Amino acid sequence: MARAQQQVCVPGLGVLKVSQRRVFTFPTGLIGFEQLRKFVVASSQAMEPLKWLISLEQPEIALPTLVPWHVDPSYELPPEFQDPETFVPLAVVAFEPSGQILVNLKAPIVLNVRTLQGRQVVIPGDRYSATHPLSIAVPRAG
Amino acid sequence: MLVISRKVGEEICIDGMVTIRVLGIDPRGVVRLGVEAPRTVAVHRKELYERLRQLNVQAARRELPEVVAQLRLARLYRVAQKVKLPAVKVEP
Repeated sequence: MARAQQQVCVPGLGVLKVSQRRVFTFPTGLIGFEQLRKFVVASSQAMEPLKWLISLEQPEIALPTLVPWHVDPSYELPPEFQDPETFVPLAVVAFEPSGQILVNLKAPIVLNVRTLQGRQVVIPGDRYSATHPLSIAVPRAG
Repeated sequence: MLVISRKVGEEICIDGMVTIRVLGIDPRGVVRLGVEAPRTVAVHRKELYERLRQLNVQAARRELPEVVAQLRLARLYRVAQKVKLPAVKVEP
């Protein structure tokens, strides 16, 4: 099979050059987007720590995510996902109309960087919230 | 809706691949179910699924510059360990 490079036009991000070695397959899709199976993670220095999970089949579907340790330094995945060389979690960031930023720590998207597979994993128990609010730094008065 | 009566220990089978067994019913009326399904079938509690679906859809709807600007105001921790993730670079 050819190691093709694919060009994908993503609204707001421009044209991305996607190598097949960076494409993640979601065998069950993503919750709410079950028909979508192929995703890439897009990042740039300027957007750090934000990473975009972008659907290759529908590039206008792009979810802002970040590595959950930015929110909770002691964040832990369930035991079967704890090998950091294999599994990388991304927490989906949602925005309320009020401006409140919510991070989903309860159901991280777990990417297996060896098999290039991903799925949204629900962490059992009540340690993590699906709507963890981020505190906002109050801009200093001028 | 298809309605099926089952006793504790009995099962129903969906599409030949998914099996749901009634494990027990406690005095409070809580029913414990055991689900066996292939890894490609996602199984969730319905109300949690609905909440997660709504959050993902809400997240996907935001415009990019707004998101970056808003996140800049948030208090975040530095992550010490290097996260190795095959990613696509966004050209400036």
